[in-house]
Amino acid sequence: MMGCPEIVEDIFKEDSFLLAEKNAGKIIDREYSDKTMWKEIIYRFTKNKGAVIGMAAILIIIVFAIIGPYMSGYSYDAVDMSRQNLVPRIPGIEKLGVFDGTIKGIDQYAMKGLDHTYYYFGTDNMGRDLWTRVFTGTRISLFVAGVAVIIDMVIGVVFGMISGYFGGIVDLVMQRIIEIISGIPNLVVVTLLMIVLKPGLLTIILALMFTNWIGMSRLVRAQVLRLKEQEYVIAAKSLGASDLYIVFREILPNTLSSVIIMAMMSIPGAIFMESFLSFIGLGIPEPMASLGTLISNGYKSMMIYPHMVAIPVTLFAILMISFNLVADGLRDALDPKMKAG
Amino acid sequence: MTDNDINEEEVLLRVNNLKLYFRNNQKFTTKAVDGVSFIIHKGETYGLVGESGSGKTTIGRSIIRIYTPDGGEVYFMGNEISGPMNKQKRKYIANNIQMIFQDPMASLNPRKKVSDIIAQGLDIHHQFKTKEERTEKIYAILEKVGLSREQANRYPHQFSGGQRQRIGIARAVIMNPKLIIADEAISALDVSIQAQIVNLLKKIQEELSTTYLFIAHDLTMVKYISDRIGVLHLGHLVETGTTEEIFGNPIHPYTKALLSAIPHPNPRIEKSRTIIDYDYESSGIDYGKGVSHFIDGQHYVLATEDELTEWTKYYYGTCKEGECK
Repeated sequence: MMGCPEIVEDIFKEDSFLLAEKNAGKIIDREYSDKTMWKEIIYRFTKNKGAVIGMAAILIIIVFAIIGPYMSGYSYDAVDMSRQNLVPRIPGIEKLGVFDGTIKGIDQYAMKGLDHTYYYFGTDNMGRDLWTRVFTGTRISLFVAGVAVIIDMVIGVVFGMISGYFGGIVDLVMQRIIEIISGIPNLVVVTLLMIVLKPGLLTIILALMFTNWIGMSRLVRAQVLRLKEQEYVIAAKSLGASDLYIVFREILPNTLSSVIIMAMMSIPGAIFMESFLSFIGLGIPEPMASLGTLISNGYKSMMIYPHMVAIPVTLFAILMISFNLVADGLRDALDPKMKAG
Repeated sequence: MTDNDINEEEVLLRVNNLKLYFRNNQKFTTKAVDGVSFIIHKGETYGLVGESGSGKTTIGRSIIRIYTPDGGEVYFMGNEISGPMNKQKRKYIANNIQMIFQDPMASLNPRKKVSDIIAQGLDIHHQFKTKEERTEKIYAILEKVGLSREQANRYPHQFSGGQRQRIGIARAVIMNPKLIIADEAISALDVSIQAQIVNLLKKIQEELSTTYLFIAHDLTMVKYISDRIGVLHLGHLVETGTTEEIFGNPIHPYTKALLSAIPHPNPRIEKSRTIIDYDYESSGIDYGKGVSHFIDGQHYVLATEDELTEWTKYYYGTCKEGECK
């Protein structure tokens, strides 16, 4: 028995088993409360600072896109050759030495005898108010964003859903159609459309309709292929559920988070496509303005009047970054794997 | 097959020569179920055992028509439920046969509330008149499976594995089915929870006199719960009989091999346990040639004449005169 550790008999006293914290019994079990999924998602989204800032930026831009064009009192297409190429002048801020309407110390407004006129963003080379034009352009960009989401949600989701759920020959044919469509470059589609249609919003929407939903339909198809073999779908089938019930009540809610993320992700792409088409002259025609045409026009006189390109580019960049931030935030908020952790 | 001592009134489900093939590609077909026949009596528990890939789940899913059989007939209380599908038949099956699934995590839709999961069958077949009646039914069934009514508005991820399986059972039982197919219903659970769930299933059987088709690979659990057992191998029902007949007098070499693989809780006996090897390829047995032979009671074995005499000759005890050589 030598060398054996001394055996201490365990004696349990009354206070041997006490709760670690004094108010341990009163902890509210948040984890198991009847919180709805959406409440939880909003809670997680608001925890993400970048996403909230992005959301706020988008909301501010939307507000300005709605009221901006009415603020300055100038119309977006009113040409005034006596007021061309004015630099920004904003009341109040002009005293700080910025946005005071001067180039190298020379007051452009005074030169033209416009002492009490203010162009917040200046004017372009046709004398049109850039403030109005920038926000009319933002309207168009946001409209394109909305259209892109709707196209994604409607065509992309329905196409992917049918293709994935019914499978077999239906899937085979539908996937070959997608391959053919995605094989044609976007620019070729738009150029061909130009032969038939005039350049304009409709053409851009048609171009988006033709190709923009392919990514979404592939995503939805992949999700449906995975989900339709899940036991809860089989359970619904064994209960006698119809195809429609299974698709809308069992499968669709489970794809919703990735659909929302994908739609949000496709917005910057769509806005960029519109701007790009307008920039190369295939988009919105003059005198209509979009962020793309504004950048395109301003770029021509960038060395002399940098504000003409800087302002729409800044707004465009803020819009793109904000949508990306919100999409990222939504992905994190909706990702079910986060829930397990 | 000799059915002389079977009372037709007592038969709940009759499966006749059921076949189901999966076409992997044009050249290769997997015969998942290849001519299986068995009957299930009213109020009993029929255990279907076999190794993975033997076709247990496929049989269950063919009966409830998740898969469409390639051949054979299935009769439920004398009504054929195989063959072409229509709305009436679908409804008849849904009202009479229900299924409990293996994976309690995967068998519940994560986006639905527990109350909506349980009431799914009622919703699909509109089996309630008012909202209150629906809620009442949900609460009653929740209490029956040992959950509380406060849990009705929660989501599946807020429950443990055993609780989720209870929800799965509630979803099946709310339709008041005569037959419940428990497809490996306990395999994914902790052993202590397995006992709880099996006892819950037994309790429900006593209260509602439900019949179970209990699909499993855990032989000890099958022995505990089943009245009769069917042993499946490679899509063939090689042996069927009451639990005593199968465990006391296994005749088919596959059954013997399967039973020899059960671990014994006593380590001294476990140490000396010998496992009988069984390899279909080298055994020389062709399941396709065998026919179902009547042994005694409800005991049937799939074998040819020669195989049967070979297998039964070493057996002592219940074998009758003239059979032992």
